[in-house]
Amino acid sequence: MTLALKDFTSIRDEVYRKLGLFFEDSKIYFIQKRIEKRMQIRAVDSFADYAFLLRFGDKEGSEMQALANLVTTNETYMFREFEQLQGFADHCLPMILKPLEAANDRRLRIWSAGCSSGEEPYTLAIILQEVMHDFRKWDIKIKATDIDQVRLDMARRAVYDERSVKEVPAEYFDRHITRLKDGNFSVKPETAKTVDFEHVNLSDRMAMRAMGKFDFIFCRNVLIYFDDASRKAVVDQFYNALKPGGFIFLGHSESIGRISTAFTLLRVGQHLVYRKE
Amino acid sequence: MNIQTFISGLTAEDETDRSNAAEDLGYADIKEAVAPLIERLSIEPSRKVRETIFLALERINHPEVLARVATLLESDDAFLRNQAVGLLQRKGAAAAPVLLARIHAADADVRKFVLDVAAGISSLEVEPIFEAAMQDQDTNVQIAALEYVGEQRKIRFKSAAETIFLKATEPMLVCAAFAALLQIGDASSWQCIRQRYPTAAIVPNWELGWWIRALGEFGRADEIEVFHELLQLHNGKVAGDVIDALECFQVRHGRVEITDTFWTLLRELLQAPLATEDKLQLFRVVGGFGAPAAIGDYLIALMENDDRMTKLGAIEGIKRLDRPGIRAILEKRRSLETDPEITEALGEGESL
Repeated sequence: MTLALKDFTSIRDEVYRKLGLFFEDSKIYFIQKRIEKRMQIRAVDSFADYAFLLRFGDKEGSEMQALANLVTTNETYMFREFEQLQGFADHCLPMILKPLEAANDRRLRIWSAGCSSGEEPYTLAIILQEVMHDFRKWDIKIKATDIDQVRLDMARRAVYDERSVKEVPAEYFDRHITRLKDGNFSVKPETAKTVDFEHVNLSDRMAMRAMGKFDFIFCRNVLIYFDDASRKAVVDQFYNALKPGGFIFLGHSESIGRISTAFTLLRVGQHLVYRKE
Repeated sequence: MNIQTFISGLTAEDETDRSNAAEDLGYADIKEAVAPLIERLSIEPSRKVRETIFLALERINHPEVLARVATLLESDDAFLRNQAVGLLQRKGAAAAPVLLARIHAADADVRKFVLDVAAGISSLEVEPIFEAAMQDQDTNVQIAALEYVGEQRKIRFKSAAETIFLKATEPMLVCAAFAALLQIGDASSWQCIRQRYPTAAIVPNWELGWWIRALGEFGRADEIEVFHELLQLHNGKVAGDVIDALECFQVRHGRVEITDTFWTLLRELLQAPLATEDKLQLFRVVGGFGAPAAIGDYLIALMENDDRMTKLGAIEGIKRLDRPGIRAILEKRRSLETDPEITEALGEGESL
């Protein structure tokens, strides 16, 4: 049994419509293997029937979520989606810093929403220290939030295993990471102090309103776990929390095009980012 | 804060304040919030706040929302119409009464939007909307209805789709009916298709792919030679469609037999420059025919071929042959191969 391109397109469109996740044609093999697993569990014989099930037989969205869990990777590590971070550092950051400098405003605010165990905000802290030659002259705050207290405690400890730090560029490593005797690694206090962790439920509208204003919001591979209405509400709050000209970064397969048309879409290298005009 | 404070907030100067006011009105979830929100939509300059207003309306569980939002289907503003369609769809069966009240609206665009909403609602309560749309005087509404009943496999509309297919004169409508029949049709639909187009030779080019698919989906076992005629008639230009349809035909009719001349033509096709996926599929298909025996001999001989894809295709075809000793042939070959993908292919047994 092979996955015909038209059935792949049909399933892909449905995943995009419901979750805002988009997969390119080159992902057909990867997706096929995962769909086959779900088809086996649901005793569905053909890809066309599975596409039909997703579209019309999944009122509660449980099948879509089960598929999403298979096609997305929960693993989190520093410098994940490296090219996107390069786009942030090389293109988007200068677009924010220049006008701030011109206005003699040296406050840069970044929000890592759904930060899990902290790899993303620490990555951002490393990047900022490395690419901003006058980093110390700026008032920089990275607010990192998550709903999971256990994960936040892990994030505050800033201790990771080798898998979490394997993608940290070698030239940055020793300046920001310490090798511990037990084989683990910790983020150096000087780097870590830029990050503030806070418990925030993205669905709590009052807490979201109190977040303040940011130049960048990173919310990568988080929105897929929300239902349609909640996703809209969260994106709505992100818009309010962004300063004019601010950027929002999602996971590389994610899109909010179906949720909100209020942002301007920009291509940064191979990635798409959303900007508040 | 009371409701009036939130309503006043809708006119605040700051965009975020207006957005928050709209959101709060949504959470208030009361009838009195509906009219101010709807009225604000027509003058609100911020696209983002307009989106928030729709989100707020969605949170309000009162029939007033449905009645008011349904009127937006008549708006000249595409943003409002599209948002209204989405909101009503998400309200589900509860939206049925306001939709049913509009299925005979004078404006065909409104009838089309009502149908669009119904297409996103899984409920028997909106079925009358499809019935009306299938008989609509407006071609665009009918085309949309055919697309939806096909896509959603609404089999009970098969006869209506067949009737449209036979009577329609506008090419787009014929195409839409054809596409729908491929989803919801059966053997009787094939008779209907043959009634309009008795032979492949008179099918317009833009419908030929569907005609071939229909032959695969609904054709009788004794019509296998029609595929042969198609390939002769169109010089292999329809090869991709024919290969797909033949595979479908085999799934329904099992190991059908083909003539020597048809096999000769297919063999020539296997040697022609086809797309890789078509060629691999054709190898599988030829292995699934019951006769002639020459097919098996040909495929087995191709295992000696130097071209990797040809060898892989031949193995896939051989695995489907109904011939004694196939497993031994494949196992013997496996001991001679070093390419991991080929040895893996040789190791997997499969029967038709």
